[in-house]
Amino acid sequence: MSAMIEAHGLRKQYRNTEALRGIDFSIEPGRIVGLIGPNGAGKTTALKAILGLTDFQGELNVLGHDPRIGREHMMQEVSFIADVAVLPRWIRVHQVVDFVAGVHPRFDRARCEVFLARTKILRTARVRELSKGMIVQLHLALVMAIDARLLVLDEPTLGLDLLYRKQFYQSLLEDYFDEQRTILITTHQVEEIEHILSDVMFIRDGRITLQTDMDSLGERYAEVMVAAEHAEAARALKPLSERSVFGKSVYLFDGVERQQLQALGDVRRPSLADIFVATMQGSYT
Amino acid sequence: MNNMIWLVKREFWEHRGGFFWAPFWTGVAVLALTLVGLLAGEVGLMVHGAHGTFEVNGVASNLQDMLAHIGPQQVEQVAKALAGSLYSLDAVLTLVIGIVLFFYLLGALYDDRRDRSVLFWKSLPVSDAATVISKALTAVVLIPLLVFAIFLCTWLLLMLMMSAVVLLHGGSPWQLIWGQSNLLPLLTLQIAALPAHMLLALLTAGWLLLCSAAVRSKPFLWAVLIPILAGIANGWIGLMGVPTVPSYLLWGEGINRLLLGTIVGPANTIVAEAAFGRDRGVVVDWSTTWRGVADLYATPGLWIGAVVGIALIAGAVWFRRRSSEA
Repeated sequence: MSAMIEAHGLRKQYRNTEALRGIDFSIEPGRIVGLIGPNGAGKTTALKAILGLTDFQGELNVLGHDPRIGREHMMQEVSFIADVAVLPRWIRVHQVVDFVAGVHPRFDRARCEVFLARTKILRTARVRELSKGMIVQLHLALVMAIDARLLVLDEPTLGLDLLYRKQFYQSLLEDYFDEQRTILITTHQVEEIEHILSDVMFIRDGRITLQTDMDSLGERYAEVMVAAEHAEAARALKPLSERSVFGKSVYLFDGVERQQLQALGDVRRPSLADIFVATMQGSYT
Repeated sequence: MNNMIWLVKREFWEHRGGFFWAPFWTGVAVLALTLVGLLAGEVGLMVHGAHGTFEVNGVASNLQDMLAHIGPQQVEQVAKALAGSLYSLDAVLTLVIGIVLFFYLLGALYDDRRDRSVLFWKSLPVSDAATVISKALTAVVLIPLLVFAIFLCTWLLLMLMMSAVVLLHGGSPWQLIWGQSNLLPLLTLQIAALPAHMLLALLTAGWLLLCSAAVRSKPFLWAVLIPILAGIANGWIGLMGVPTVPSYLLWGEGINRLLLGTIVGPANTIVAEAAFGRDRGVVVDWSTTWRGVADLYATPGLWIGAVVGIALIAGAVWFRRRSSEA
């Protein structure tokens, strides 16, 4: 057993739309994978299929389980933060810790207490009395205390301020992630997770359009700042996109020889956000 | 098993107000009203003097004399009054908790889908079947037991209060109150009828949980309108001369029991009959009463309803597995 998640011909049909059109992918242990796509591309559907929250066609193997069968066994090794504020609002902090400690065989209470001690969360408070940021801190403390092999995060920092967002990913990297674990993240805040990802998958209209590790991504895509006199030559190499910065044009290329590009101007590594925007153009039109 | 304990605890955390405080304060209210009544009586006696006269059955009397010369007829009346207080307390508690349970069951598999916290519950290694069963178990078995305990405590306090009044006026509480209360037979009867009550509640619990798990919005409307519209449609079809389900069966055994099974059932009626006597002049006929309880368990409707209830709960599990958001 090598891959954490393996999908073949994964398909999901809603009444009027095909959310997943037969996708294949595999995710190895010890990776942090970003699943990135425009709204309605099928990200959440893919995550729901992995978590056994929705029915699907095709083959899907998560840690050796079919997520549709015996979910409760699979969930011993899979953790999941859906998004901010899915913790029940009526529950008290000590109750939710007690409950998870009670039902989860891989939950380490002492570890959870250590994480909670770093926050200002009162044990007697109800979730509805906590701020959005504190709810995420609480949820993260619970999840990081679970010795799971796969952690799925669906827009975990939506609506949080910058401090909480930074702290969220920093905690994950420092106190949780290791080569035994895998993290699968979807978010629209691409800039914030770019530096922590080891792999990236782009999804568009129910299809995986790109699946690669970050190193290969840097080799494959290149951004060149081109002076006006070389513009024709640059366009001849069929750039993915073109934009202007301070009167110069910046072209984004996919899989063009370095030497060719260096002749045109300064070659830089493009940001994930720029690649995303360039490859997803026309998604909403 | 371990998970089930935590799941049930979870239900009590969330619904402590309805499960415990509602019946608790009902009991307190009944006690308070009784106390006010007793105090008013005492004040009346003080105004008229402890030896002041009042009329009992058209004969001028005073309390001291009355307690001293109690006849079998009066004793019988006291017994009836005590049994009546037992029944009233039982009825009001059953009504309160019945309403609490109705809305609890309607929301049990719906509220967490609406506020999306279902995604948190489903992120834990707990099966959907265990989740649904924990809610049915809470509503059908555990809450009735808890309410019975509250009922028992309240009633004992009620008896103690009345004993105190009798004692204050030189009477014997043992002879007048405890000896007449039929305490043990009535309690035994209630305990014997309790499982029947639970079996009857199973049908309602199944139906409400199914609606709660299946609908995208407005579980109350679905749960109530579907049976009622079915009943009305059945009536119309009957008007056209097509064979239909007899309406006494559909409304009485079906719709009524589907919706009101948690509130009041034949078990209460039997206890009421035992409490008041078949007709008001006659002493409680225990053999008839016990036959009533036995008949309850011999009714096919009770068992059919319970089996259908379990099937509906299985349906609720099926829906729970498939729906992660409302």
